[in-house]
Amino acid sequence: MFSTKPNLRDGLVALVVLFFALLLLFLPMLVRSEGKTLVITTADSTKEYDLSISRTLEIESNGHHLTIVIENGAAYVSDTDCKDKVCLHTGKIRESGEVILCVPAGVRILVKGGKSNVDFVAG
Amino acid sequence: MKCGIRIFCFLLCLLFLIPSFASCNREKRYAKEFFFMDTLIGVTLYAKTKAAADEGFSLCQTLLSELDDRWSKEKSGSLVDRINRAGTESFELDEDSETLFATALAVSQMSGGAFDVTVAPLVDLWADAEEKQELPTKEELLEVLACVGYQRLTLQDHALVKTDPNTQIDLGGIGKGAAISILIAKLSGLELSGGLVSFGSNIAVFGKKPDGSPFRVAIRDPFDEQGTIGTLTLSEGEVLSVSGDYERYVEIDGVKYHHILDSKTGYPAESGLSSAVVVARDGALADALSTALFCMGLEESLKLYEASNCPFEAILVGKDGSIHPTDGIKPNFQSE
Repeated sequence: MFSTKPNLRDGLVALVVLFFALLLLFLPMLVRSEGKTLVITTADSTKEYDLSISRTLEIESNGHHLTIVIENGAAYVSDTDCKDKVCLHTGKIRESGEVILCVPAGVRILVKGGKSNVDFVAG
Repeated sequence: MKCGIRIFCFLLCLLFLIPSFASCNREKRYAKEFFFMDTLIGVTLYAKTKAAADEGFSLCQTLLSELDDRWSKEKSGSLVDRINRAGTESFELDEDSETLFATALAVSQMSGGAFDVTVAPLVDLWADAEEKQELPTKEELLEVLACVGYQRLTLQDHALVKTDPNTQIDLGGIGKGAAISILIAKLSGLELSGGLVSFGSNIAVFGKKPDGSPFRVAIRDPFDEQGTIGTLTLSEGEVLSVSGDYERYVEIDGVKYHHILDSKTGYPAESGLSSAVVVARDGALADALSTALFCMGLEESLKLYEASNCPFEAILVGKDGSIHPTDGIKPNFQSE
């Protein structure tokens, strides 16, 4: 004979099931990486670098040379032989979604990942 | 099959339904970059499907390409190129170009020429100076300044009339702002919940973010490349434009000369401001005014703000680091 009234065990099962449902709902937010990555795409390849580790990168792409510096959680192009120098004038990028682009060299430098309380840095 | 089992089955359904329901209805963030008008354009769109976002990106590509073909002075056959090559002629304008020139002439007039759309010969002179690595001479500057003056352009019956053959136009101080407004107006009509477009130093937002929070834009500190002076909350359809002496520059003999030129002296503007941030619903207005206020300086800018009926707000940053937000922007500006 089954009881028609929910008992303590039913309540526990309900709680466990709800816990897993909510865990599934919020899991993507919990596992999201806090660290920021610099993604450098050249004419030939795409490479990722930890933005928290300072280093200087020498990049060759489409016959152009770029020097990219990563320091203090930011990245910038410190030198290029490209005539336009747009990438050089872009300055430092450090917020997720910020980009430096060199069209003649076919180079795209993007910050991704991390959490930010702003949608964009203007200026 | 009693109550306990029924509850178990119901909750089991919930286990699968809650996350899938949530993810089905949650807009995702899609981002893409474009390069037009010599500038990197970043477009972030919030959409329920990739197809909807791709439609938005496709619209950006088409529209930006059209506007670049029309307004770039470097592109042979563009409207601006034809105006610059012509003598004294009248040019019939499309609706977007007419709106742009009307705003350009209005801001030129209200700022007493601090913003001037006819600075092209001056911009070219400084570009040549960087190429030759020699500062322009006073004679060269005077010769070029004689060609600068917005009064030599008038709008008549949907046409732009050029009254001096030496007048040349550069839309560098207004074109991107005008383009960003046109772009977000078109994007708003698509099946997108919201988005943010950055076009050089112009930023515009439309719609809402998936979590319902407002769009927040940090304003870069002119004195610290890594720092910001504060955060501004932007509402639907607002455009923010920044003009600063730290952005673009030419370098001659190791000295940096910033790109915002004073149409009266011919030299980079020195008004006591390091940056001027303008927020308006019209991108062309925000873009042109940020240049105008930067050249006018703090006192003249605040006079213009108080005297004109022009719908804009501003944050002015002095060379001494002082920050001056206008009354209307204060509730939306959170300083560092």
